[in-house]
Amino acid sequence: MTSPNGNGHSAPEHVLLRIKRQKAPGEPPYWESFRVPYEPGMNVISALMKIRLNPVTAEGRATTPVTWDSGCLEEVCGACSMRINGIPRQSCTALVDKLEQPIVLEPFSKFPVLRDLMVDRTPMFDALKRIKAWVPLDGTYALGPGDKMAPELQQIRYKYSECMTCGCCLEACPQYNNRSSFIGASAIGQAYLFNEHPTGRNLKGDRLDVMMGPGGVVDCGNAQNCVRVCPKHIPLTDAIAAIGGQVTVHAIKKMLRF
Amino acid sequence: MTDTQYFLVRRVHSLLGVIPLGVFLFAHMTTNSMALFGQEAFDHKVALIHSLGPLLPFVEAAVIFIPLVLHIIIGIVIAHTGVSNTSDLGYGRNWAYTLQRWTGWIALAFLLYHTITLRFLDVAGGRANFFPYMSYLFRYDSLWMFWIFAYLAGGLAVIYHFANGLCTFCMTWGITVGPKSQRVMAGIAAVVGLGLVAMLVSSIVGFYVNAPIEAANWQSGIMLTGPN
Repeated sequence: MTSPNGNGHSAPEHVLLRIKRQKAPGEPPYWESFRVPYEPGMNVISALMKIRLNPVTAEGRATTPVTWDSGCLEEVCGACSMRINGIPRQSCTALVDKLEQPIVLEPFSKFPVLRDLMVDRTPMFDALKRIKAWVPLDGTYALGPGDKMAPELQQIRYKYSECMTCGCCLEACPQYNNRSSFIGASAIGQAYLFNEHPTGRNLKGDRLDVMMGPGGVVDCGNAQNCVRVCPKHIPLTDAIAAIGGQVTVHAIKKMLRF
Repeated sequence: MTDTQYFLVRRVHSLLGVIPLGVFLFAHMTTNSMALFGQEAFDHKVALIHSLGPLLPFVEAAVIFIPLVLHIIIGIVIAHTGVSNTSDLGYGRNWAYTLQRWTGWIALAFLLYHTITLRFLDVAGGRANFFPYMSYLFRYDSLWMFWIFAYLAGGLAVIYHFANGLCTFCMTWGITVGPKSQRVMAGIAAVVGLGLVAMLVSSIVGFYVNAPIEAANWQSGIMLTGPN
């Protein structure tokens, strides 16, 4: 049986999902299939909401509702990121009409799973602390207005400021895994963003120290998956090459001033 | 290891692949391709290298052996830090990344066999015998198809590893920053790589077509193929 959808095409009455689940951190994962009623224009999150309304597997067995993380529902917070048919992306902008079925949902494999599709992305925020991804302004007196920024530089930096720390770039990266301490593309992009800021530049040396050490930009393998999967189309590989160049200069200066 | 030391190790690996190893690869392939013009042309080129005389072992160590061993050791460590994921993300550069590691392993096996037999054990019995020895392997040995395949596979692996390495070298050092310049570099690397492949193929054709008479009755070839 079919029902019309918004495009005038006939659409299936049900949506099939295959979900990799996990009860708690460290527990073994298991797979469950679900068949939820189709609605025109639905996304993966609305499909997950249907499961929550009626947590019964495709085989008709009662189960627990699937847990996932989400926030803004408009692809700016990054919380609902997961692997959808093998591709790391946000589930809020993953439209069911555009996905092959069964829709395979998996939690990110590079972060600890808290439950089902919800992962702990704390390592990403720790990385931002490591590279001091901020403009140093705190002090005992007002510093006054900062330096002006050229519009050209504003344009370049704007793209990097769109990073929502979603983790897609890290999930896709062959060098970001438990065998390597690689910090990943998002942090390198942020190091570039703040190194190019007129005041943020004051911490450039600290950032480049992290970038030249173990886990820094030097551990990049140039597979360039990061830039392919980034939902915000941030030119991450430009930042990687640019930071690579900055690190070269920084290291030579460091070696000459001992 | 300090940050500076780690940086140096990684960048030394990157640099050695181009200078001197990439430069040497060119010199080596030029010599091999001379086989197309006959044994005399090939031997002349080999003699040119050996005209370094007593300096040769030092040049060999500085330009080939030490850089190669360092590049291999660091490369093996680097290869162990990666987990390939081309099955999910079949993007071009992701394949390039994975192939860089595969060709690294193939090149390692090939170069180990190549240097141990021809350089250290000297199975050919001196440089004057290089040409007939290769002709024997590629034309008259019972396993001739295997030798040609192994030579071709090993050569292609080394050439790919070098050509892709040129691209990643330029990214790593911040020479090609944007996607456009990286595409241009990929084109240049492809031309360089195809040039080297042409030299590789010429050498096979040369050793086969220009086989000297004594190659048919080569004896020390037994050392490699085992008693018949």
